[in-house]
Formats: sequence, structure tokens, C-alpha cells
Amino acid sequence: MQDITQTKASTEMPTRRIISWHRLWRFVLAGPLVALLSLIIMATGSFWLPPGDAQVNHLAIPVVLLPAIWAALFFYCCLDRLARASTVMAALFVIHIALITHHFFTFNGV
Amino acid sequence: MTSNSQKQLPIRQRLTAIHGWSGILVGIFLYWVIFTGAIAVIADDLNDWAEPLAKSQEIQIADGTDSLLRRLSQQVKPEYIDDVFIFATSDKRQQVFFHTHKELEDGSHADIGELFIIDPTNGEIIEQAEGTLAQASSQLNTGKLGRFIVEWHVQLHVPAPYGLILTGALGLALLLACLSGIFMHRHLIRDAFIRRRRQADLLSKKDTHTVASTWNLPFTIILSFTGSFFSLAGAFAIPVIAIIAFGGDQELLLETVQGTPVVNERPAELQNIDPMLAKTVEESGAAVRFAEITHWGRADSRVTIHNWVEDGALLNQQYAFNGTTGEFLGPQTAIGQQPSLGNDLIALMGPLHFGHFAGWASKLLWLLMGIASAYAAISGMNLWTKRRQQVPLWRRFYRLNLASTWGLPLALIAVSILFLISHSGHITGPVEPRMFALFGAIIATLVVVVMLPIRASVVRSQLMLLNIAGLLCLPFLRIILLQPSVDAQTVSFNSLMIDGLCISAAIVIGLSLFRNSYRSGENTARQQPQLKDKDFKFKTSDQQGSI
Repeated sequence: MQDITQTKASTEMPTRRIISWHRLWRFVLAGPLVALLSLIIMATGSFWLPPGDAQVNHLAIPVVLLPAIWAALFFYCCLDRLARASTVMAALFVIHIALITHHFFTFNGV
Repeated sequence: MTSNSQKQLPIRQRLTAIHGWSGILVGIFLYWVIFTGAIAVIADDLNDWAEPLAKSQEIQIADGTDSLLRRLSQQVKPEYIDDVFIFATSDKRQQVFFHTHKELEDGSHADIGELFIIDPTNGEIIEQAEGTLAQASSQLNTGKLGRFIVEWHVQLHVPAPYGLILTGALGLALLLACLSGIFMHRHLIRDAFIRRRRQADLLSKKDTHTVASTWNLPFTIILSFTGSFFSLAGAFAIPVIAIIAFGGDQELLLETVQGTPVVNERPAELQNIDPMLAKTVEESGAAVRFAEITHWGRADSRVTIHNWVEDGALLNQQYAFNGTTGEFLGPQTAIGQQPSLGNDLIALMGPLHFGHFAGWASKLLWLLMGIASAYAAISGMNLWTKRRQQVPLWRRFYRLNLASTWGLPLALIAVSILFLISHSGHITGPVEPRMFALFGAIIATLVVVVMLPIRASVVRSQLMLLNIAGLLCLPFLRIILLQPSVDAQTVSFNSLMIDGLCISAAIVIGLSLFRNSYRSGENTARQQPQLKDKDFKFKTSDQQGSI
């Protein structure tokens, strides 16, 4: 009996730890990281959206769409496989940071 | 070893979990924001109702504004005669704020000046205070009832920007609950018509929650989307765009959006603004809502006038005039120098969120839909906590939700009664601190009472009775306290509507109370069998998730 209990415990413990780490990472990914990435995507929208004749569309449209950007990213991070969601989020993050860096050097005339 | 995909819950169950947790974690605050938002739709009318003038006015910024402004300009400090806001408050009283743009000690900038409340019937000053607009407003009693409710909705009375961030997050949580609610139901349309009665109590409640939420879904999505836009745009979006796209230069961002202003500090006389007000009424077909004068007494002065929405239109108009020459500069856009998609989208946010584009018809619809959304939030929390009654934490949460559900309207009714007594002159001094004290005392008392070992159904019935008594008391108290000073011929339509809404709400709560008592007796007579776990499954549409 004792052996069986020990065997069960030894097989369950690592699984629980994996699940809890998965849950924690998904929480971080869908929570603060999605919030941060939504703001970054909104702000970089002003780089590639057409400004229109009034020169404001590229600033106004991303601000209006901020809740939609956040909701789309949140659902994606919650519903897709964790590894793929993490990869896609990392890729989006790298692309937008690159855009910001490029704009920063252009803006400051470097 | 178990693969990652095998450990994950099916998508529908994950959506159910998102739906439940997004509602339960912030549910009580969400209910407060939604419920006060529904009441905030009629906040201006509540102010008219609570503070009627002896002779009610039809027009809110009328002829004679120019002479009023010039008379007031003789009384304010010369440094404040720079920019002026003119807008209406309770029962068409005029608010005039003479101010200038100053840098504060902490390096931030603010508009500081003197605020006047004017009686439009005789032009007399009712109240005045000095400071920023927020500081000056807080020292005055006029318009405080509507303001108290609106501030709960906008930022839960938490200082900016934290309050805005909080309500923005609540708006996003509501958006999540709506979207996950759509996708977790396989048969959304069919569920909107299913309401099983006389079965297990919770099953019937689940159907009611589903029906209320489904019918209200488009409205709730619009409200949560526009609400989170309003909260987050000011708190996050504009500063972030300024940092990332404009190197942190917010002034450059404003110049891009609004254009570079022409500066000419040469002294020049301001033209009479009465013809300008009349011109905008002629152009828009609607009354003036708000006017702003920039650089009074300078050659670069400008008058901007915002009008209410014309009958049959969705968006309101704004016009500009050269303050020195009186030249009409034509209609203006909210952002940018010419019409654009971005401007239209931002301009649409207001009417969609506030619902004031078609007078009382749209306001009543927004009010009722807001209350239906609040009901969906409460019923969702009740389902979640009832399902977990064996856990002490959720039992306490159920009772806390009970205190919040009926305590919030009760506290708002009590605050309204206090305001009526204060406005009638029976209590003197600042009314706002007393409103906060009474509101806090009622909520704190109820939180203690619901935790006592009294049956929840008894507490609910008593709270409903108190709400009914308070609602019925409001119109009569207003008539007794305020009507003697008001000309009976000019009682405004808004006041009558508010009286009618109070009585209607009391009748609806009374009918609900009667129905609850009837069903409670019926269930006892039938000796309802013990509910089993399977009863809470989504039998009709979703065989996988539970409540």
C-alpha cells in the first residue's frame, strides 16, 4: 500500500507542477503581456496606417480599435496552444519593437 | 507523459471559464459601474428634477450671454480673463468658468480660474468658487446629485488616472464576458427564447440570465467597447502614442491633431457673442450646448460653439468664429482640420455610449438596456456562487452580492433624499461630504447585516421593500420640499419623467417581490427535491460546460 501511494505521488507531482507553470505562464501571457502588446500595436498603427487628407486617421483609428486589439489578443492567448501563442506573441512583439526602433532613429534624425 | 494538448480543456470549457471568471472577479464593481451608468444617462434630468428654478427655462444658453460675460469679467481677477467656458447645469442654470492655463508647482499644467453659477431668470450669481474646474466644482452644491452618480460610473470616485484605468479594465472585462458568452453557446438564438419554469430554481435562473444577456448582447458590446475607449484613451492611449510616435512630445501630437494655432497677442476687443450663438442655432437647427472663448481680449481670440443634436441626426455640430472680427469660420471637426474617418469614429463614440441623440426616447432605451445589463451581471454572479454554495467563501460572496445588488440603489435613493433636503435649505453647508458619509454608512451597514445569520431571502425581501419605500418617497418629498418655491405652470417635463420613473421602478420591484414570495411558497408546498449537479449542466445548448 505504501509503495503504491508513493508511486502515485511521484507520478502526479511533476504533472501538477507542469500544469501550474503552464497556467502561470498563460496568465502572464494573457494578462500583462497582452495589455502591453495591445498598447504597442495601437501606437505603431500610426506608422503604417494611411493618415488620410485630414492627417489624423493613423492616430484616431488605432485608439478607437484598442479594445478590439486587446480582446483579439486575449482570446487568442487563452484559446490557442500555449507554445504557439507564446511564439506568435513574441513575433508580434519583436516586429513592433523593430518598427518603433526604426521610427525612433528616423524621428530623431539619427 | 501526458501531452500538452491532452491536458488543456476543450475550447468551449475554456470559454465558459473565461466567461465565469471575467464576471466573478470584478462582478460587483462591474455592476456598480453599469448600474450607475444606466442612471447617469438621465443625470442632467435628475439635476433638473432635484434643483428646479422658480421659473423653468426653455433655452440653456440664450440671448444676453454677452452682457452677462462682460459683467462677470468686471468681477474676476484680470489674470483669469483669458479663456472662458459657458455651459448649463441644473434646470438651465449657467456655469461660467473664467480661467487661464498655468503651470503648477509639481510641473503639471492646469486651467485655474473662477467658476460662477448664474440664475438665468435674473442673471444673479447663485454660487462662485476659485481653483481648477474640478476644485471649484467640488466647493459648490449645484448639480451635485447628477455629478455624484456620474463620478461613480466614470471612475468609481477614485482619483484620475487610476479611476479611469479601473473602469477601463472593467469595460474590457465586460467585453470579454459578452464575447465569450456568444461563443460558448452552441445555439445562441434558440437559448434566447428558452425559459424553463417551475423546475429547479437555479435552472430557471440560468435561463433568465441567458435570455437577458442574449437580448441585450449588441447593446452591452457597444457599451463595453465605447466605455473602455473613453476610459483608456485618455489614461493610456494618447500618452502612449505621444511617447512612441512623437518622442514624448504631447504638444506636437496636439498640433498634428488640431493644427498649429496662430498667435497674436495684440489687444483687441471681443465681438458680441450673442449673434454668434444665434448663427449656430440657425445653422444646426439645435440649441447651444456649450461655448468656449479662447484668448479673450487678444487679436487671436476664437469662439467655439457646440450645439445639441438636431432632430433626426446622430452627431452634434460645432462651429467656430473669429472672436475679434466675428467672422463665421464654419463647422469644425472634433479632430483634424477637415472631415475624416478617424474624426467620425471618435465622434460616434459619444452618442453610442451616452444615448442622448434622440431625446427621452433614446435615453429611456439606454436606461432600460443598462439596467438589463446590470441584471445580467448580478444574475451571472448569483449563478456562479449558488453553484458553489458548499464553499464558505462563495456563500459569503453570494451575500455580499446581495448587499451590493440592493444596497447600491438604496444608497443612491438615500443620497437623493439628503440632496433634496439640503437643497430645500433644511440643511446648510457643503452637501457632497454628507452624501459620501451617508452612502458609505448605508453600504457598510448592509455588508455587516448580510453577514449575520439571517436567511438571505428575508434580507432580500427587506431590502426590496426599503427600495420601494424610498422610490415612492422621492416624488412626494420633492413636491413637499421644493414645489412651494416653484411656479406650478413651469414644472419641467424632465421632472415629471423622473417622478414617473421612480414610481414605475417601485412598481416593478414590488411585482418582482410578489412573484418571489409566490414562487417561494409554491416551491415549499411542492417540497422541491434536492438539486443534483447534473441539473446545472447546459442541457439545452451546451452539454460540456457547467454554470
